[in-house]
Order: sequence, then C-alpha cells, then structure tokens
Amino acid sequence: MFNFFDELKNKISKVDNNFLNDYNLINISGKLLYVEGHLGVTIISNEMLAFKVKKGRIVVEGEELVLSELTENTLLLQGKIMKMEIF
Amino acid sequence: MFKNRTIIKIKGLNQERALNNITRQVKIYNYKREEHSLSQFEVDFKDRTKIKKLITEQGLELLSITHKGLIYYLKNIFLRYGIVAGIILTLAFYILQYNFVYKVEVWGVSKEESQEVKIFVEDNMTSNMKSRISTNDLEILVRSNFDFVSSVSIAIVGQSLIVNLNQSVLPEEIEGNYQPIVSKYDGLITKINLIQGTLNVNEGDIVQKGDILVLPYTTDSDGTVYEVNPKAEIIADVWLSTSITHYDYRVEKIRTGKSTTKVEVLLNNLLIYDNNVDIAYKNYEIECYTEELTKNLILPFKIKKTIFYEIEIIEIAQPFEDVKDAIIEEARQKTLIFLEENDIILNEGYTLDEGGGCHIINYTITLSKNIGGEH
Repeated sequence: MFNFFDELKNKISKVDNNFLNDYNLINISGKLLYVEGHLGVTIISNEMLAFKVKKGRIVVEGEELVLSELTENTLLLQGKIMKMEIF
Repeated sequence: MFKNRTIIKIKGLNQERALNNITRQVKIYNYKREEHSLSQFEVDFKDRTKIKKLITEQGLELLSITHKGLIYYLKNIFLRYGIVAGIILTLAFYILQYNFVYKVEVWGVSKEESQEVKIFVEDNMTSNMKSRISTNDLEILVRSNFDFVSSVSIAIVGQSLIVNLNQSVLPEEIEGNYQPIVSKYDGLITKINLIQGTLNVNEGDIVQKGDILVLPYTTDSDGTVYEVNPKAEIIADVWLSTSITHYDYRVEKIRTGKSTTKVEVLLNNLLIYDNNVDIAYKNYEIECYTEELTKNLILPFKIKKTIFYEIEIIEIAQPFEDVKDAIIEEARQKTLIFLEENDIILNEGYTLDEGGGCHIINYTITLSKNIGGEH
C-alpha cells in the first residue's frame, strides 16, 4: 500500500531524515488538519488550537475550529484554517 | 447514527491539560469549546463508564452525559418498546383470559351446602370458556339435584360464575325445634289463649320463672301424638320489686383525690426495679394491676403498678324520715328499669320494714303481660 510519508523519506534518504519522525502535519484544502506526533494540546478555542510538538509549539488559527478527533498523539482539526505557526 | 458515542458536557478550568491526560486512555471526538470553561465532546460508547471516572479525577465538573448511535438507539427502543410490548402482551393476555371463568361462587345457602353446590357446578361445567357454558342447563341441574334448593339463578359476572340459590322454606308448623313454652317471669296466670300445643297450666295458677306453660305436641282423638311448635298467649300478673336499705347511722369512705403510685418491674416474678415510694397516708385504698412492659420482648418483663388512694372515713347520721320520700322514689325508679315496651302497670306500692337502725323499702309494681313469649 502506498504510504505518503515512506515515499517522502525515500526521496530524501541521502540526507539526515531523522527529523521526519518528530511530527507530521497535513493540511487539506485549508479545511482539515491532521496532526500526528503532538505532545499535548495547550489551547483549544473556536479560533485557535495550540499544541506542543518535539522541540517546539504549533499554533493554528482559523474560524469555527472543531477538534474532530483527539488521541494521545494525533488530532484532527476541522474548520477554516487560516494560519499555522511554529514556535 | 451508526457511530455509538457518548456526548459529554464538562465545566472547569485548564481543560487542555485535563484533555491531554484523558486522551492517554480515551479517544476524544468533536471537541467544541462553547465558553472558556465550558465544552462538549464525544467519546466512544464503550468508554462511557471510564470517561466519567477520568473527568472526576481531572477535577472537572460533569454537566451532562447523553448517548447516540445504533447501540444506544436499539437499547432505547428495547427499553421503551419493551414496556409497550409488555403492556400489549398483558392486555392481550387479559383479553384472552377474560373469556374464561375461573371462580364459582355460591350465594344464599350455608357454607357446607354452598361448598357442595360449588363442587357440583364445577364438575358439571362443560368448559371454563364463557361462551361454552350454558347457565340454563346448569340451573336445571342444580335445581333437580339439590332438595334444599327452591329456585336458582346462575349468571356469569366478570370471571366468576355466580350461583344464587333460594332455599326451600318449610311451613312453620312443620319446621321447628319443638321446644315447650316456658315462663319468663314469676306471676299469676289470668288469661290463656292456646293456639297450638298442649297446655300445662291453668288460669289462676301461680308460676315461677322457668316453669313449662305449653308442651310441644298435640294429641288427636285417636290418641296419636304429633310434635308441633307450641304457640299461645298467656297473660299473667307479674310483680317487679326492688328493695333499698337505709341505715340511720353509717360510715363511708371517700377518696380525697390524693394518690401515690408504686412501680415495680418484674422478671418472672423476680423484682428488678422498685421506685421505693413511701405511703404517707393514714387511711388508703389500693388498686393494683400488672401488664407486659413491652410487646414482642423475648424476656418476660412485667410492670406492676400499685396505686394508693388516700381516703377519708366519715360518719353519717341521717334519720330515715328526712330522706324517706327520696328513697321511695329511688326504689320506684330502680323498679321501673325492668319494664318492657307495652307492659301495662296494674298497680304499684311499697312496704317498709324497720329494725336495728335500718329501714328497708320494698317497692313493687304489678304488671299484666304475656309470659309465654313467642316461638
């Protein structure tokens, strides 16, 4: 089966690709954000979602944000995603 | 609809931290933050018990918990429709069983006879189904099989078969216990009107209470004796009397109103407790009673109460002449008590005996009454 992340890793195998194991974010059309590898949410509101990742923190801003799914290390955010910042 | 979820509303601060802890054990869906301290989310239906515990552990307040999804829907249907189905089944069963008679009741005769009729009817019922029971046939059967039944009506009321009987009534002359008529009073017979039976007394006889007046048989010209219920009107002069004795000098005891109660608790006549009262009265009367201390007690505790009433002894000197009229009236009233309805007073008066410091008033009322009574 095709694995998007494996394909990416293969393509850049010549360089150090350890960072690929930290976290992954997939933004689909600015309406759906899939995150894996988060280390816990820090802010949840209708306009903002912030969560910790390895060596940093990510803040997602938007409108009518709904945390559709939340597990220990993955989350799925639905809504109008307008900005993502990594700190 | 097919995702089985439990919707949870929570209230509390620092929900992010709590959520991070919760998500280590439970997956969270559709988290919406309505206010800063108020939010709603979903968990799998299977985690509904676990999540309650986790929320409490995280110090959050659980505002509401509702369920959705197929399992919950089915469970709900089962519960709701189960009750409806139960009611429908009960109604169906009730309607079905309403077509059957399950009890036979017999009215109008004694217990023994009614039991006999009941067994007979039950044995002769072709079916317990109402539509198959012919009450007319049963009526004919009962009437022809029981001599003591003069008429019978059978009806189905609800789920009971009611057998209403009228007993055969024998003529009064035939039916009876053949007991003689005895005098109810002492008296002098003045008039006899014999209806049935054999006389045992004559006009002018003096009879005492309990004497036989009319015997319970008749003898025809052939000398054949027939038992009958005796019947007669026997009028006699009857004397009612009451006497009152008056003492010119007497001693009476009067309670002063003071009393003292001595309480003792006994266990099988063994004294357990005594309130140790001192009786300071010079003269007193005693009333004593014993009762169970409490009911349903394994140990037979009893309480004994002795009440000491203080009395005063007074001497009364009362000449008879001062109270003569009052005593005569008292004696009359005491005699009138014995009068019955329709008694005719023929005469009344009193006699006076005296001697030894006392007077005896004997009041007598002479009546004319039927002493034979009725059978």
